[in-house]
Amino acid sequence: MSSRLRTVKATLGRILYRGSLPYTAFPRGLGGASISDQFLYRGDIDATRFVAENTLALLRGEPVEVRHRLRFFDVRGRHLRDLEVCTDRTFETIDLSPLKEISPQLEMATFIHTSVYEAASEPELLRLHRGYCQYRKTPESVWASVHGNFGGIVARPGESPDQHQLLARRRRAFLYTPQHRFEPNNRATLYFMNACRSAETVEVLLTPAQPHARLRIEPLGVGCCVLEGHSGYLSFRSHLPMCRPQVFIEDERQPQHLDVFHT
Amino acid sequence: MSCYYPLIGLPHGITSSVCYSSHTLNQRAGSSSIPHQHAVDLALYGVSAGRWQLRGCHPVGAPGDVVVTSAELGLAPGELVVCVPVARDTALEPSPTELPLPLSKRIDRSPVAERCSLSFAWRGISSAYQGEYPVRMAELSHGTLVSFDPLLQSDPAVGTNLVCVVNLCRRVDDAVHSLECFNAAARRLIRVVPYRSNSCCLIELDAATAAAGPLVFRSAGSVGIPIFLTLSRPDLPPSMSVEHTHPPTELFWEHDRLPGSRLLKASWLGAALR
Repeated sequence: MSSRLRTVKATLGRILYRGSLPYTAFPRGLGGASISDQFLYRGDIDATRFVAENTLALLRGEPVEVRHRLRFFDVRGRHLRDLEVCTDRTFETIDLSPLKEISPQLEMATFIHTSVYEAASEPELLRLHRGYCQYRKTPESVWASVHGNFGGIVARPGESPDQHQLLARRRRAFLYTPQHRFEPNNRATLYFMNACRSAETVEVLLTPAQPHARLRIEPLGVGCCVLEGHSGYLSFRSHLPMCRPQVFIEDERQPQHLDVFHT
Repeated sequence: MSCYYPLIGLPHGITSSVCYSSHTLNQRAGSSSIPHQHAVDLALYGVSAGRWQLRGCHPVGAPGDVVVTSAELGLAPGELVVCVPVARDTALEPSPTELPLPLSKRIDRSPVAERCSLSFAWRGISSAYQGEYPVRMAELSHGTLVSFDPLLQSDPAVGTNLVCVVNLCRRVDDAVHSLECFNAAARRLIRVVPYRSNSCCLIELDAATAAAGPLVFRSAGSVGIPIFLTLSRPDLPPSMSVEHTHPPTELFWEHDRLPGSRLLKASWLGAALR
């Protein structure tokens, strides 16, 4: 098949099945930008940190100076503050305790990761920042790691903190049922983040079809619900294209251990 | 895209498990608040005597689920058993040269990766993630792997980091590969671990080695999915973490995925080591 025919076929597929695409079918003006997943900060545990990748250093196989910028938003998606770190390392572990020192009452927030290089060394490839969040329950615990899950949030150097292009799109309603079986002796805390342009509602259902919670989440914001004593599965009904919460599991018999995963 | 589900044998008394349920992961909601159910069988295959060997088959009720553990199958560290969902009452060949294609639970075009719950239990605690091994990866007889160390931990509470690279080939294959672990800055080789196709290559790294990084893992002969387990020190109350790293394609957006991954891999696969 010629490359032109392949392009036509792919374009037609994007038009016909755009209702199943998590992101806009034809994103525009992405040149010079970097695109980020939406990450979760927790201020109600011992510590949160973030592992940021230096894409150009990974591409070249050598140190390259980069400015990592983490941009934080409150539960309603309003800009809180930025945190910047300069490094030439391939991966940089960024301590998020400055946020805790400034806002000790902040229980949760979302953030995105942007990387800025000297213009001369900007890679032409469009970078996607998917990073890793790490959460620690006590100083004697290992960090519980989870990779970036979903986002499509575009940030450009020089743009103001409230100027973001959100590529995720509200779609027809989905029913998402993760494969995790919840156990009655655990406490599960579920964080739903919204990377779409519109405020969205998530219904949390205990299977089969028993309502548990209903959350309204603003763009770039986060909503949370707690589940205790449930044995079995959960379903989420929403218009989010990927309604996959980040889940923390705790067992009061093992107070130093915290499990985290994306559904 | 349908998927296989690898169950791996691990050291240090870690038990891994696969939990496979009958429900569809993502579907158009319509007026329904109940996920679509599939009555299937979960077939288990391991490699022995140059062929896949059927090691069991569990019916998955609808609604229902099946949990299979490495302990009940007696898996040695690095040994791999593949869980394959198949249509109910399928006549399964006991020792095929090729794994059957896994059944998909998709019922429409809703976006989803077909995952199951992969869980790891150790000293009374457990850690899980939603994982899969895509068929299109299992159909590659050759390939390359480059992975980095963002999930290695060197904090005072850390006892051991265990890197588990899972390789799965649908067609049985006796090839032996090697996983190289090297220091990215000094280009110094730290370890070379041989492993066979359809096994899990294990590398154990203490906190001091992790701190001396950055480390790179590479194989010029096979693809694979690296899973990182971190265990607390034995003198501390137990805590652990399990997660897999993003493949290089995930560092780039859409059309740039393959060109970006090729460029990145070329930089590290071609690096001369001391």
